[in-house]
Amino acid sequence: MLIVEDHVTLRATLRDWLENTVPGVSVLSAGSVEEALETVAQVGADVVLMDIGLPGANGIEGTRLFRVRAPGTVVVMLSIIDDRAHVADALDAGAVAFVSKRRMRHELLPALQAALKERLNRAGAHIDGGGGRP
Amino acid sequence: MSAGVQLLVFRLDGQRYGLPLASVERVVRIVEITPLPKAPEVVLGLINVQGRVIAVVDVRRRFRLPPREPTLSDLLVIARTPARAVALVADSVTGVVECSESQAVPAQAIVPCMEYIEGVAKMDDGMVLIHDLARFLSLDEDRRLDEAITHA
Repeated sequence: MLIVEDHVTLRATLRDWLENTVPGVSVLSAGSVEEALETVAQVGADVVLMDIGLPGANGIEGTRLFRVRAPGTVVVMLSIIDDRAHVADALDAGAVAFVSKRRMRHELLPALQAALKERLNRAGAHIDGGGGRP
Repeated sequence: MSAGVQLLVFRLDGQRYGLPLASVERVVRIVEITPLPKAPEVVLGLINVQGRVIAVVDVRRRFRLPPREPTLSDLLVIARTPARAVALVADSVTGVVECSESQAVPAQAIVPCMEYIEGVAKMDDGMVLIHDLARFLSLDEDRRLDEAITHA
């Protein structure tokens, strides 16, 4: 799992929380979309937890970039900018879920579990396709 | 956290943090910090502001930022915890913002382990983490600081 969040304090806290809450998960973090893409290119990631307000490319632009450059990775948007327009933009860009930071304590883990299932489904579909089934 | 508050916003490494304005006494240019032997690690030392001795605390450590020595361009935000006045070293002070009830999110709604953070304020251009001064020093640190000051 890769956290893309530019606020250092929140990023470190979130990383600690996920590492202590989700057994066996490996959590990486990045402060920008560019750094995140580099990390995924080097070590991969099943799920990316993406903020919207980021330096450089914002999280919605970043989600579009991930769809092209790391299509197997699923993106969950996590932001305090949670008006309808931004939620719609995030989902349109390819995010599988949108979690508001206002409610992340209760909504983030279920969203991540659903995202992991989606990631496995994509991997299964990829294997099916690669295996030449009808 | 209480909603509808004014926040003094300051920056550390480009990140924005806020303090309830009601807890802030003043902001001053950095002055010489006198080391305080036997003080808790989070205390950088003491300053003398118009005859008052005030402990300077290392907010960078609390907020998981990389350590660095104070520089001449830093500012000191003097604020009150329930027990004492403390000075926080800030890179800069952005100003005062109004944080309405709808903009404020209590820390416990965000992550269970948001230590030293009272909540998050949603601003038009991002978010501000609101510093919880009441929990900044533990009871043990408060006691050790008192002892260190007494013996200084």
